[in-house]
Amino acid sequence: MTEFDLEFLHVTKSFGEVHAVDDVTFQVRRGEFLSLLGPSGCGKTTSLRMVAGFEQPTHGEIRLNGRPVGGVPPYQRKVNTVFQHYGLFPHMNVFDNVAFGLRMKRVPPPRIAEGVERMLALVELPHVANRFPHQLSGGQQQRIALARALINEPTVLLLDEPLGALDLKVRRRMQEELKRIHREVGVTFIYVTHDQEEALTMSDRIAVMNHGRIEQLDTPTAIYERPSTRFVASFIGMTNAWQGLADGHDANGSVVVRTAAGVFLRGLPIGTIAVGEDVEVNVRPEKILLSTESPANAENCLQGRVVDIVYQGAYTEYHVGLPGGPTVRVVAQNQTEVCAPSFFPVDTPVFIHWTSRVTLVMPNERASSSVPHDRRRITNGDAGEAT
Amino acid sequence: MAVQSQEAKADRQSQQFLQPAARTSWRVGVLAFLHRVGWLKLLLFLLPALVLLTVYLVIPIIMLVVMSFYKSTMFGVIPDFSWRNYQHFASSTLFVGLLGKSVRMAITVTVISLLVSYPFAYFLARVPVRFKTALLILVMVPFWTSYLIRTMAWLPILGIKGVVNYSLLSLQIVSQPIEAFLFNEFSVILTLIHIYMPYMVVPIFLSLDRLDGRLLEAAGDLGANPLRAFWHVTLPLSMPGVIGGVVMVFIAAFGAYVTPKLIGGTSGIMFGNVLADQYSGTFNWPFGAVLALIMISVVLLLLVAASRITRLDAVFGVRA
Amino acid sequence: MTSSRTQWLLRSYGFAVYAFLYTPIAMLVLLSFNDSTAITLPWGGFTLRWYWALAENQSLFVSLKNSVILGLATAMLATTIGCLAAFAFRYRFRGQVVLMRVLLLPLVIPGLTIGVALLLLFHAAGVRPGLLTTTLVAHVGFALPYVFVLISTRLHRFDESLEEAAMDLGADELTTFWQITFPLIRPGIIGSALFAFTLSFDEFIRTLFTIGNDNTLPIQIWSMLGSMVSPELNATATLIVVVSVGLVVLGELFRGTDPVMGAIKKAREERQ
Repeated sequence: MTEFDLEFLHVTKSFGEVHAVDDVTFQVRRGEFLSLLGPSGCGKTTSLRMVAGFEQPTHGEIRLNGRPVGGVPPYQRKVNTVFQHYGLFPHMNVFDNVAFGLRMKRVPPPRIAEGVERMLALVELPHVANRFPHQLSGGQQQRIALARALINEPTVLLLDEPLGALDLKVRRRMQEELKRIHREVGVTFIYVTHDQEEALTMSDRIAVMNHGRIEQLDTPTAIYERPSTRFVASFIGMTNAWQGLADGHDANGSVVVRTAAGVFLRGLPIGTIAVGEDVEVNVRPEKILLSTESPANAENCLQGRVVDIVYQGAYTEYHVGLPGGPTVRVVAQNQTEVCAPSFFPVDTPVFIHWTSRVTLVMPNERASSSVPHDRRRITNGDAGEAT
Repeated sequence: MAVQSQEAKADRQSQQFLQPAARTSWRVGVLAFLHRVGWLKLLLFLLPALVLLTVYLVIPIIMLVVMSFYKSTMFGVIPDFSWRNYQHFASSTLFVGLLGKSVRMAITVTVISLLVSYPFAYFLARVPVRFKTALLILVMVPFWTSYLIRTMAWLPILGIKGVVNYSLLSLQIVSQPIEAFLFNEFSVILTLIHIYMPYMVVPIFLSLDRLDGRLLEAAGDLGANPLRAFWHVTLPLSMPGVIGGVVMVFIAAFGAYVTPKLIGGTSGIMFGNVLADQYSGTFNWPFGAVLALIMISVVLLLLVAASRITRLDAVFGVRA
Repeated sequence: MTSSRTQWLLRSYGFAVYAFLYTPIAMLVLLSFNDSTAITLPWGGFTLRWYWALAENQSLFVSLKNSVILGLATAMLATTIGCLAAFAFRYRFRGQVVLMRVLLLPLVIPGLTIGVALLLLFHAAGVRPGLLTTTLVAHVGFALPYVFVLISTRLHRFDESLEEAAMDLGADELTTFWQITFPLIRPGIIGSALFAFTLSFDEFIRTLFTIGNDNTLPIQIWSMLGSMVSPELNATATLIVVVSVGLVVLGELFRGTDPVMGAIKKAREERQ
């Protein structure tokens, strides 16, 4: 018995010329909550469907609990899916929906009734057994779909953008619910989403996918703070970017970069950077500090002028225009009211500064963000291998 | 709850990833086989339809072609392998003229039907949603009765002792019953329009109904008055429906047999009547086959022409 | 955007067209109760005697029986064959478009030519015309495209993810069909079957060429029209109209008991 509930081994799925999933390899540990995150068309849903059995890989192997599942039909796999639009059977009531999987296994009726009751309690909908799906709200339907899947005690639970059709508040609540249920039940969850916030909140690890490949497979923190490719850096959250040439390394291991505007910035390298190499410098808006006076001992410091302010309630986003450089976004928390001394009105000359530890320097990729195999990349954390 | 999940975890570890097989093994085998040989399943599903079509459509038409090259004699039909029958048709002013007349009548029916049906379909499309289904069914109801009955229903209306004449006489608009209502081209055309109106109304209604009202709002916003909005937006977008209706009505009218026979008298006969005669009165099967093939060709020609203008499948909502 | 005058105009026009559509049939029904030996006006008083005369008409009963048997057989066969074909078309395969065109071709080929061609076929094959042999072929071939289109559109609207959900939960293809797909498309199938029955019940022209010595109701009416024009004709016709319309209305009602649509309709009403 392996420790991995699910393994992808060089899995490729092609539709004609197009590789929806392109040589993907990863392992998922027991009880893990893994999200597949990426834009539409990145291959996440196709990957999910291959685990469920609705698609077969063109090349490569998928293993469940150590055993290959190629060619095994969906109804023989110990995998269950929560569908995007719930997929509840409209002509059956909630009880029959949830009981369906058990009935397929010819479980005796008393145990079925017991199981359904337990599941409905788990999803906190104990009294709806006799209602029909169309009589439930979206959030309730989603929970019943979850109950219907979990009652079968699958090895792996697949969730295909289950919260996409829900309102924001309901979605937030459902995210918490799903986390709670995951903790209680201990089943491996594979969660497909295009919503990065959702992935960051809920996952143990995230696989960021693009054009059929995994760009980075890591914990949410690592994905956010140490994106290993430009795609990941720009897909997750916001980032400010400068183009430049690597000028050298300093004593701390940081790379010194000379930007196109002639300014020097310091940051941590992703992979090995050679001197003179074409690089991109990234730093996230919330890592940058604003001040009206020149800060002492700032590793990275630039001077500019506030050109725009976007008020966001809990935060304020400042757009700072630099002479000859890009417009930088800076996000500051509104700890006191907006018109406090920390508030910088438009046209104020300001200094923006940040440390090298929150700055990332990565090699500039030509053209598309598709990933050649020999790319230099950090493998972070305690994860399995990333492609 | 926590105890339960411990149990579940332990349970899971000891289970295979496959579900316990609860089905008879032959069923599993058959399904797996069909799964692998996907095309076999497809073939099995299509086979009955294919067989039926072969017997109902393909072979009969082949028979028509074959028969058209036979010769009719006193003792029956014998193979001839000549164009004799075709020449007979082409050289006969009677038959060619009748073909032309039938086409003309069918065109008349189609045009009038279009003019009458379009506003009606427009009216239907504008009706509030809750009435739409009911009103649409109301249009279809006459359509679901046999056209034989619908044709014969005109007899007591148009005849010299019929309802129309009776009313005209009673109201003293005329002193003598008018014969010209029945047993001529007029009655055939009128009846055909009546019978096949749903064929015209429904496709046009469907394409008008599908029209997004917001397009008309946009047109109005850009300065088009209702008439121009209709001409530049509504009418072009309803074209698929119009073409569909035109094709259906023309084919139905052109292929008419019952209606001209019943109420056409001598001056209202159509191509279909002489066609049928070859198989009852005259017993010239080969020639009849030629006539039938000509009728089919006219229809196919029209279909080809129409499909150049629009995708007919779209009109009937069938996904290709 | 439409002025009330245009509204009024459209409405009266609509009404006029409905009148045009229904008057002949209405007249037919009316005259079937006319106490007069002429099949037309003047009105001689209300009577049911033509219907009683029908009841005593043995041959009509036989024809009716034949029509019903043929209709049932057609409905069953056409629905089954059409259903299977519609399911096949859910998948994409080579020649799909061509095959669909061929499948729908009978809709546009004039019935007269089909009838004649079938006559040639059966004659050449030495098959004697018979109600449940040659005529049945003609009727099923006639009804098939209609049934196919009806069921196809119904299938098209069916949510395939429900089938995936069932398979995901352990139901194999057969179980999925019986427990999920079939119950949800059943109203559509029944409606198509009813429609096929009606098509067969009213069918005349192809029947004319493929039937032997038997009679269906339309065939009998045709010969009645040829020989004696009697008011019994009106009564017969009225009965046929009632049956045809009744069946189709039944079919529509069935679609109203569609579990999905019915449920959604109810939910909409509840919310309002």
